[in-house]
Amino acid sequence: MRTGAPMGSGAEVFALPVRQAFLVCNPVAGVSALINGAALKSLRQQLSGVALPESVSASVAELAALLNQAAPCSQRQDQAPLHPQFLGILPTRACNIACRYCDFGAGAASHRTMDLRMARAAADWYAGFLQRSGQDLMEIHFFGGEPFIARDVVETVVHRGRVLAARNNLTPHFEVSTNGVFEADYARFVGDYFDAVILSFDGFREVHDLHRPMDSRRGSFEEVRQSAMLLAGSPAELCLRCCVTTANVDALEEIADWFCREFRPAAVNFETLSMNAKSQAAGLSPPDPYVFARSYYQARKVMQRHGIRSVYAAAQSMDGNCAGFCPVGRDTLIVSPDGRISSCYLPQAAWRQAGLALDVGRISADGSVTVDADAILRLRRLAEDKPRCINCFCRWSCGGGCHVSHTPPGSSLQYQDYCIQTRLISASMLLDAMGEEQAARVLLADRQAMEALALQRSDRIGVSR
Amino acid sequence: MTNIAITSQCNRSCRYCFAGSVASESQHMDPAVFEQALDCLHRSGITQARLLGGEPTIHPRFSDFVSAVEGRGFDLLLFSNGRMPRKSIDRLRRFPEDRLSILINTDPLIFGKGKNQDRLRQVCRAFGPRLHLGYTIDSPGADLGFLLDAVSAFGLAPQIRLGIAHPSPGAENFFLHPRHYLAVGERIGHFLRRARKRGIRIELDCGFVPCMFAEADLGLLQEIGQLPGLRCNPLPDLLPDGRLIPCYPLARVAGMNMDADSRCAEVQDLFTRKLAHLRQAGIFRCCNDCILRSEGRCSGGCLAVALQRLRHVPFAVPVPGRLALSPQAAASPCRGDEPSDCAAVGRPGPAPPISWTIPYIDQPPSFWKQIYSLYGNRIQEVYCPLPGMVLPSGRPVQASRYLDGFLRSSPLPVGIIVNPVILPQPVDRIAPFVIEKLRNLQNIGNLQGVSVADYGLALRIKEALPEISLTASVLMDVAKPQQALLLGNLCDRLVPSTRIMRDKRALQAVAEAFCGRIRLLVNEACVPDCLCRTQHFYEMAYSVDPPLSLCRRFLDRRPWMRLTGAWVLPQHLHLFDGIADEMKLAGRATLQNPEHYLQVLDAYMTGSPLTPDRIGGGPASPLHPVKIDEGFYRATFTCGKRCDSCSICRDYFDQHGMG
Amino acid sequence: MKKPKALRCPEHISWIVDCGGLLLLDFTGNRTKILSCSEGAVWDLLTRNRPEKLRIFMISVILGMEMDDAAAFLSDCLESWLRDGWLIPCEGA
Repeated sequence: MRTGAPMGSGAEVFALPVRQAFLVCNPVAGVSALINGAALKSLRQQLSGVALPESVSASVAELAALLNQAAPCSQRQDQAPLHPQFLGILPTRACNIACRYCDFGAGAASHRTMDLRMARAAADWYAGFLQRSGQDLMEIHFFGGEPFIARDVVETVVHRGRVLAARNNLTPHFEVSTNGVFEADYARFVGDYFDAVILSFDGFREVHDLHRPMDSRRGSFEEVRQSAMLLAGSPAELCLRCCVTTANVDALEEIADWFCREFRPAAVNFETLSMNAKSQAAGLSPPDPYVFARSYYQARKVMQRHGIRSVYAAAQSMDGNCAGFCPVGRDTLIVSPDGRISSCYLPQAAWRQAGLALDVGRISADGSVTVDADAILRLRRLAEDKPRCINCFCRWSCGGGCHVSHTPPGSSLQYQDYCIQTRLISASMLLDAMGEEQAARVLLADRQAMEALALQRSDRIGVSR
Repeated sequence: MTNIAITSQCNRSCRYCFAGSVASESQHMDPAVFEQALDCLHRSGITQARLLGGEPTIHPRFSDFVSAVEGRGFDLLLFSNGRMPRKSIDRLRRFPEDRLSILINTDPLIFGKGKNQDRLRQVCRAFGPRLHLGYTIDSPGADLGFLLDAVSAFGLAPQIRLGIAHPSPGAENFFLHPRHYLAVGERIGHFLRRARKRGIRIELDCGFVPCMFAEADLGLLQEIGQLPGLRCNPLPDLLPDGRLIPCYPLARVAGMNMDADSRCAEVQDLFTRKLAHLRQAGIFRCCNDCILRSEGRCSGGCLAVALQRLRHVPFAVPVPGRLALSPQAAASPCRGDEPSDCAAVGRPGPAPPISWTIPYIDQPPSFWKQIYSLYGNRIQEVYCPLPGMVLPSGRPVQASRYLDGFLRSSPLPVGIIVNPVILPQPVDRIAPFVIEKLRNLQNIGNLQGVSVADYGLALRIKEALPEISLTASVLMDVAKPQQALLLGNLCDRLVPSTRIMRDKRALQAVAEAFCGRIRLLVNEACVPDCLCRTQHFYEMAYSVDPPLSLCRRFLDRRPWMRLTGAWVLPQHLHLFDGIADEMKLAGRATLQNPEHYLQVLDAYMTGSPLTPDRIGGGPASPLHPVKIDEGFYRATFTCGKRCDSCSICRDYFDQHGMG
Repeated sequence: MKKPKALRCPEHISWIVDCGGLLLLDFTGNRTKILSCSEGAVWDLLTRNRPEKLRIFMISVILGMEMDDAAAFLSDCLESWLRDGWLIPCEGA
């Protein structure tokens, strides 16, 4: 008889149906395997401490031991010191184009831009903080609106950041999310001074212009294509971000191929549309999650052939940090033009409406900075409190997605489309990583099999929590 | 030149091809030009003719050219895409096997279907072990595995050359962006292991950089003698029309016509000099802060890639009301390439790059030729002690195996230092011997100037040899305007005391008071007002052994004071703009090690960053490879040296873990 | 000598943005100059058209100086670059 090893209290072991087989994994320990039903049964017994007959193969016991590793508790300690993922600067909430799906409220936003002294105060405080806390990476991200319509602010912060970094022996890293609608000369500034540029580009002309018009008459495709070309040749890491709707979901493979050939970016990021009143009014809808998962997978394969990274944020990291990819909960400090410091770059009204309070501090024009430690601690716990995610194998990489759009307080326990696509993509990535590419392809070609995996209520191999 | 491009025509159209950067007047090289090229190879002592294109085998006179190569006794290395006309294959098969190598640059289509692929495979089979494969990586998705299969399938030489597709301005070619180097490095790492298993050697062409490889892969590369990082010193290419270029990607930056006297090494030297200042640019923004670069393990990658980052935006700026312009500044330069209305003013030329005086190190003539080829007329003098032990200097006794030859035939001007901190006898007794020796040197070589530490000796030399340029040595210890005034116009230049090197105001004051040129000694680490200075330099001059580090006794107690020393790092030289007319390097530590010497010299010539422990500044230098940020250096350049009440250096020392 | 009204960057001067500042390259003089991040910021701001007051204000914010000091810093930079040939007087100035 083999003695069963009861599942460790911290072990995160999941099993997912992949047609006739099962994908078992412990994403925190980085262990996964594709096994048959009989092996799963033995594995369950082994993990629940049941003594197994000698006939059970050694490999099941070995797998159980590997899976049965406790999570290296990377969840943030409540009292750990402040450690911002980055300093965010929102130079303005206004924008120079009129995306039909914009959920940043740019259309209605004031044209107020951040006071330069306030911007400097933010950078100074951050550099001082990094130095006091012995950190050396000074990461500053710009969001909007469109940050480059407030160029004075961007340039001031970038140059101030460089001066501070040189003075204090810090390594500066500047990143910007932009719509790319700026003139060629400015693209050179962006390419020369930014380490990473996230450029919104929704694919071929027809769809891009449908999604992201300059105004009611004209699309932004030409301007964005030109910026993408210039940034592709610049020293910056160029990441193209494509918003996926029903209009372009079937073309992701072609878009990926074109992006890779034409712009040779560092990465291409595909994210599905988050529905809002504006996109609804424009008749745009997110894609069917099953179609998106399949389409994304195919695009990913094309990009692998080009040697270029594909990104779907919720499935990107299996690094065991349950805070997910969202900056909220990672001590992120994002400064709005009015001096509020929040953890989220969405407009205050959007997260208030979802019942969230994401402000964590304030900067005044005279340069004084206050950060509310209690608010930081509260937000650190936010990602852990997601009832829908408790038994989902993706919780370690997805973290429940956007706290505002996907898992606001009180949201239903049912999987959303977002969850479905994330579960399918994550599973196919695990299969790929094991060399089971064929299993992934077959899974994604079989709607019924996809549903069985995506809609499984609990993935836990033991008792659901 | 080493590579002879006999035609610019090609029967393929590779997307990464860089040859389009050159608009050649004639597409095929004329036989007369080819003969000249072979003459040049012969003159240069080169025994291998390397033919490339375009596709060289489609030149209508290819067979004749091969015959000329064979007839004149050269070995042949042919760069080809493998799509050779049958006639060319036949001619190559008659070339003596042991003198023929063929490098086929190929792609996965080598296993594809079609007439061209059949021909390529035919070539592979025909030349087997005399042929090796090359592959140009232009995408992070490049699959290299087919190369190993091809070597086995066709019995080729077990050797594969990998290249990176570089940008070639004018060719608008497809190239590998540095953002993908890391991904490519990873692929090459896997490939290296597979190749090793099959006994196939991998060679890396120019442009690979160490930071694209994992440590383990660098180890593998080191094992096979292929450490990347320093290969961007292009062997010139000769174009079909007789023009010489450093390489195709740099064709628009430098070029010259071949003439009847051209020698390969000289052409290469010339291009090296022409490109030297550009080499300060690296392919990544952070190259100049990179430890690999400062340690001389990487030159910053392919220069053509680095120059992709070049910017020029025409801009004009109104002169603010407060701008006080000196007459020279207001009459600022206007060069030949300026619009004619500006050029007509006839203003003086641009400020020349600063010139350097460097120490003699006992190395063979080739060493000095190399320095000359690298830095040419930026070297003002190479200084050495007076030979024959007539009078010691501020440096310990050195090896002198090559000194005589150097003094007679140095390609660089020579300076002599007669600057012991104390003369062993009164000037009147010593001066005649010194003068006689200098006069002899003047007669046999390229003597330019003399450095002296004693006022009286300077007077005597000036009197006897007025044509020789005199420098007041750093050991004259001029640190105040009054001293500069006392010196008057006896000396043409002054090296201010190291005690004020980190005191901007004091330096400015001395510079203003002195009527000649100011030469700054930049890599000497003496702490200001050192308590052991005189004894140290006395021992330096008169001990047989190199003197001990006397200052260590107090620096060990206050190690942070090493941060206050006289050293200037290459990256901070610009802080001395407006003070220095010329610069000088000391040879304290570097004279023991020619490699170190060259690294230090190159860093100062190019402004490449170094840490203070690497500049060869002597025993008072900081001992750790600490990065000195400009803010700190700037602050301590103007702080007034009130170290008793100030903690900047102490704090910096502690914060940077030097304690 | 008449003082020029405006300065410009000659065609043979190019630059490269590095982590530690800005590297100026002179293609005819075969020389380079490293500008610190502070000086590099000034150079970069000069390459984009802005009213002079705003430019000085931005320099003052970037370098943490009073407006007068920023103006003086700008003047010092211009003077040094003019003296060394990195900038030249505009034609007709």
